[in-house]
Amino acid sequence: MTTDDDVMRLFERANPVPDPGLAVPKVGASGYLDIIERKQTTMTLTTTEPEAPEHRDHEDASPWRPWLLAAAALLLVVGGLVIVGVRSGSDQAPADQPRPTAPLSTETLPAVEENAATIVDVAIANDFTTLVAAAEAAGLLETLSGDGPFTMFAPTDEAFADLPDGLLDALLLEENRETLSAVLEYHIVPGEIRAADLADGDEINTVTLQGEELLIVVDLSRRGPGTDGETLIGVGSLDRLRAGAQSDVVTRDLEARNGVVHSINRVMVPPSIGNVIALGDVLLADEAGG
Amino acid sequence: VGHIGYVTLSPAAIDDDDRAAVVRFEALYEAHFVAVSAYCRRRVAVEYVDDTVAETFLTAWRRITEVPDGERGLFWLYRVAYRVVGHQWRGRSRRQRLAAKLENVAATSAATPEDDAVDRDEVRRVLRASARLNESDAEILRLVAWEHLSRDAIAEVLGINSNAVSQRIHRARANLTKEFVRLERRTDRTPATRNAPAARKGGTP
Repeated sequence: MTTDDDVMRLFERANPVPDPGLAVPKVGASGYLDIIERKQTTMTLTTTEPEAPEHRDHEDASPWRPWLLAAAALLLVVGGLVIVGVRSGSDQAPADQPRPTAPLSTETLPAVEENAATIVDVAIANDFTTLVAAAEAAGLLETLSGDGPFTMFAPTDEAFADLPDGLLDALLLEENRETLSAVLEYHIVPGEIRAADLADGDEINTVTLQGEELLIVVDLSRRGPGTDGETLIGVGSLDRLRAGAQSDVVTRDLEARNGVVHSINRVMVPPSIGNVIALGDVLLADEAGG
Repeated sequence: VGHIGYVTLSPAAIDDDDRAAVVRFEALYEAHFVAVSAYCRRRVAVEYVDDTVAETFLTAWRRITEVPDGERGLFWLYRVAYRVVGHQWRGRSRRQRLAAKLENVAATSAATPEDDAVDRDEVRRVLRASARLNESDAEILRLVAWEHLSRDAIAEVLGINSNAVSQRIHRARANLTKEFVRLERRTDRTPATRNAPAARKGGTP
């Protein structure tokens, strides 16, 4: 009674996207070409900028403030990696406001206590359970409790849960400790980079503890519903950004004594490995091979 | 290109090869983004679509010199996307997968033709039936019915020869019908032809 053709016709009608009439988002390839061009602009500005300023005298935020970044970079060098002063209420004080030399009242003092928390403490307090366990397995807790300062891009537990089946377990195996360390260290950037110091269109090219480059790009990843009014911060290798495959910062500027933590929605993989799938291929092949 | 302390604001050197790769990638992206995005939207829950598309194009970027020109570039992308979808789905339990798929369908089936509720049940049923097939059978049917690919194109996407494609389509169609009929019998004695709440009548599954 019911023929294959009938059922196939029905199946054809069940197509969830019968008409893929959807525009190519600017975020894609062409969007990322801009990055390259802007990076060149930034480079020029960096090299022409004279010695490091101790006082920053930026103008009001413009949509694209390359030399804010340039100054931040130079401060990083000169200030022995401590860039911008600790900012606890990140929303209020823009980067260009002069900083009071003394606390206005003793009420501001408890902030010191908050800063006693290390990146590890912050990670534990904010329920980065998987990350902390992985960092422990990789022997990274000591580094993250040390002087730093570091910027940690912390994948949420959900991000770890999104890894292909068996990958996390494989990573946690003793014999894969080196790979695990590499993956985790790719999430850690020496120095402090605060979302509050970044503006629309900014991008910073950093080198992670692991040794490979990681880009931080503001707002190019804006797309889809639910992003109204939010400036998104995407992180990833240049390859990932070009492909629109960056990780997005979910929670920003979690302050620690020895740095700052931003949570991200996707585990990153060093470019030399490729992506999660390649990582899986490596680990699972190793596993299968003995 | 050197680093300034730990933070460098300089780009990796962009040489001619790199520039050519970018141009090529951009062309690929412009030409096939819509199709790849639709492919992914047909297979994964809404919240994973962006990731799936992104992983697919990331692979394309990394292997840009291997991507064939023209239409075959799209088949190459489908092949990568299939693998990406497979990996993503393997990361979740089968139940979640099915739930995601059906949820996806529930969200979009309202957009299927105006034959309204009459065959919404049937549409759901056929999708449920397809979810019971083995993955390669289901994929081949999706490529036929949703991407409207020719046998040769499917052969390219799946990396098998055209004869094998014909056989597998034949087998997959028969399996789909079998599962469909089985579900039909189980949930509803009479094939839904009216928009009655037929599904409720069946009681326990």
